[in-house]
Amino acid sequence: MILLKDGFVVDGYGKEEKMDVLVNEDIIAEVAPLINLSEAGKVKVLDCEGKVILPGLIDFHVHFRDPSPKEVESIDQGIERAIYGGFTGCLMMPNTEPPIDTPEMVHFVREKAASIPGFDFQPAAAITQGREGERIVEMGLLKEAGVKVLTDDGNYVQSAWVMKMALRYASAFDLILMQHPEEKSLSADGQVNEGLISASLGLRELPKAAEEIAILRDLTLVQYYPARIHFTHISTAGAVQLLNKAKSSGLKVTADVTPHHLLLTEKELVRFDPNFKMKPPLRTEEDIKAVQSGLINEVIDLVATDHAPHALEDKETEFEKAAFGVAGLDTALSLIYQEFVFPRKLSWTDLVRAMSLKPASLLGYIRGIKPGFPASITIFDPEKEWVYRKEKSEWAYNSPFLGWRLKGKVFGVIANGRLLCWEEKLLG
Amino acid sequence: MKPRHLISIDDLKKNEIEVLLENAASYKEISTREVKKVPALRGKTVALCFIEPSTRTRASFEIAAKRLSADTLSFQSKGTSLEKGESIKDMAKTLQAMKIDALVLRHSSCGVHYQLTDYDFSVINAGDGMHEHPTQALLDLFTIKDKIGRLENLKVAIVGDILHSRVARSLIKVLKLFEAEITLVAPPTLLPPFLTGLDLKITNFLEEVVSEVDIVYLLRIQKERAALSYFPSEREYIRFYSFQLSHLKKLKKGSFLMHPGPINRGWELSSEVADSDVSLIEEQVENGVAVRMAVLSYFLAGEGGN
Repeated sequence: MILLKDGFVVDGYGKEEKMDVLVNEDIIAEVAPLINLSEAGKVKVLDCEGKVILPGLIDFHVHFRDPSPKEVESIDQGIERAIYGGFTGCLMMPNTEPPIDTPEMVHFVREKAASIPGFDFQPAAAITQGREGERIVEMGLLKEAGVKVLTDDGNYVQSAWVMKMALRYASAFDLILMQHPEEKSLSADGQVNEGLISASLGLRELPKAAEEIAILRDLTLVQYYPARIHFTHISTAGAVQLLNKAKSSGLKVTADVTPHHLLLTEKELVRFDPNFKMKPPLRTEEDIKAVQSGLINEVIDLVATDHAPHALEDKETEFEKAAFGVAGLDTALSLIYQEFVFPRKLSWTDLVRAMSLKPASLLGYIRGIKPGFPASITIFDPEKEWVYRKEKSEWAYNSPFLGWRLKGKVFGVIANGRLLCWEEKLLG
Repeated sequence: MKPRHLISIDDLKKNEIEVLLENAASYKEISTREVKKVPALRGKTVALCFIEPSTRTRASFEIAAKRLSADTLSFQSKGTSLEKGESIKDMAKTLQAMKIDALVLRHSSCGVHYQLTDYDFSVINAGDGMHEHPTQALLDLFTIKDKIGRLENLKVAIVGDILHSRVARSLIKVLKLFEAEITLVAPPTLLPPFLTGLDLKITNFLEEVVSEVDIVYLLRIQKERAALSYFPSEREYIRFYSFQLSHLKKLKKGSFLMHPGPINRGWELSSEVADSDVSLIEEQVENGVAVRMAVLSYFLAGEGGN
């Protein structure tokens, strides 16, 4: 048994108060103002004075490069980094080499993740075979292999006919189709947001219209062919408007936003640093205001990192040759705390909804600091001040937040009853 | 007298179908005789025109016409005047000038038969694109009545590629006339969307209906058509829609399995199932001749005249 003593508990369902939390095996046994135990010897007591106890976070969008011909963050290394960042579960994208598009591949990556028990690892499978946008994957067999989400992430399912097939077919198996909204015929070789910055830097453009047309097309399709759809890494004000309208009309649609699209603008690009290069690109002040209020008003359901580690040689190169994507697992919680919870734009309960309860419900997990719930818990130290720097050689640090002074740091993680991180250090 | 046509099940009234089935029962007996021939259509000419490939339907119609003593002329897709660029209208005029009495036509275009209804011959639909295949539905109905003994209160599951199936369209219509409870079983991509208000049950899983129904009707996966791009793989289709030995055990006593043929063994059903006692596939073929004899005589010998 583990007793978390004197922490500030955010239960996820509205309560935020100082409580003790008792974990018995993989279940939360008791949550009470003062828990005294007679059999003190059998209980590991962890002092949480001054710490915040949250339902275990889940990242709905991560890339691990495994299998891959390159040695960049394997599945177990990625999961360790997720735990270090306060996550107790994640949804892995299927754009590996080869891609995850069959039940056999799902079993293969699950096997690799099994080396870290306790962590809720979910692989997403592709929507189309080989992520090629033509023939749909074996959704029924994938569902039987435990898959919950399908996505061609990195690719938009460009053919409306194929997307119709995917929506129709997925509806029989209650699978979530996750779209990376980018109309390719508009974005082509684009590098950065279309606007004054692309104009002055001379870089090819990734127009906002490409994102919004993609979302609008799929919202139109789901009106006629109902299925569960999720739009990932929303980045424009127009996209937020489209989602707002769709949600008010009762469509079953969800969306996520990344910390970098909430906090950074295209102005960061003036030094051509590839650590600021990702898809969708960093947008404008107006856009980050819109996605921020989208998150606050729950038009955007969750925060996901789109953690995308890249080999050094794929980032330390000409901007136009550099890979898209940034690392995000180990900064997300600190950033959202510092930029939203600390200045009281979001409550702790809001943060927990966006980073734990909502992604959990989409993936079929249960989260909350309540008796009887799975013991998946994130413990956060809100007082810790630190600077984000390269720490571990096996992790990729292609992050736009390198060098940032951050407030608050992950202190401990319990995943399904297993203590995986304590005092900011990975255990085992 | 203007000739009557059988293009859709809608062309028949319920009581006419009952008459056709009764007639078919007596025609079935003819095929068991030493001399398998009656003079019912002596002096009549039946043109069998199959613009789309067909073996069993064409053979079935030809045998039916010949056992009724009609003269037949048969032309298939290869070498027809249509292939040489003649319009369907000119073909009809030509056939009319040759004084044929009936045109049995299989064609890949839905509804093409309706352009042929103003000539002096009867038009019998032997399958038009994805639209209808009325004689198949009639022979299926005959087979059901023959084996189950009734047409009332039937529960029928139609399984597979509903979207592309002319057999399903005719079968649903004819079963509806007899108020059967119909469940369509298919992945959503092989069902037309927006099937509302038709009083049809729909499920995406074969397992859910096997133990409930009197007839499981398996449709053919038309590998030669685009059907393959509507579902992910052969093994996934087999997992959710193929009729296997495990389903056979769940089937109600007295229930049967049907298939319009030709079957793809291992796809729509396993080989063991195809050869089992509950399979009516051979009966369907046998009854096809009798039902088509009944149809031809009904429409040509004046029995079905207006």
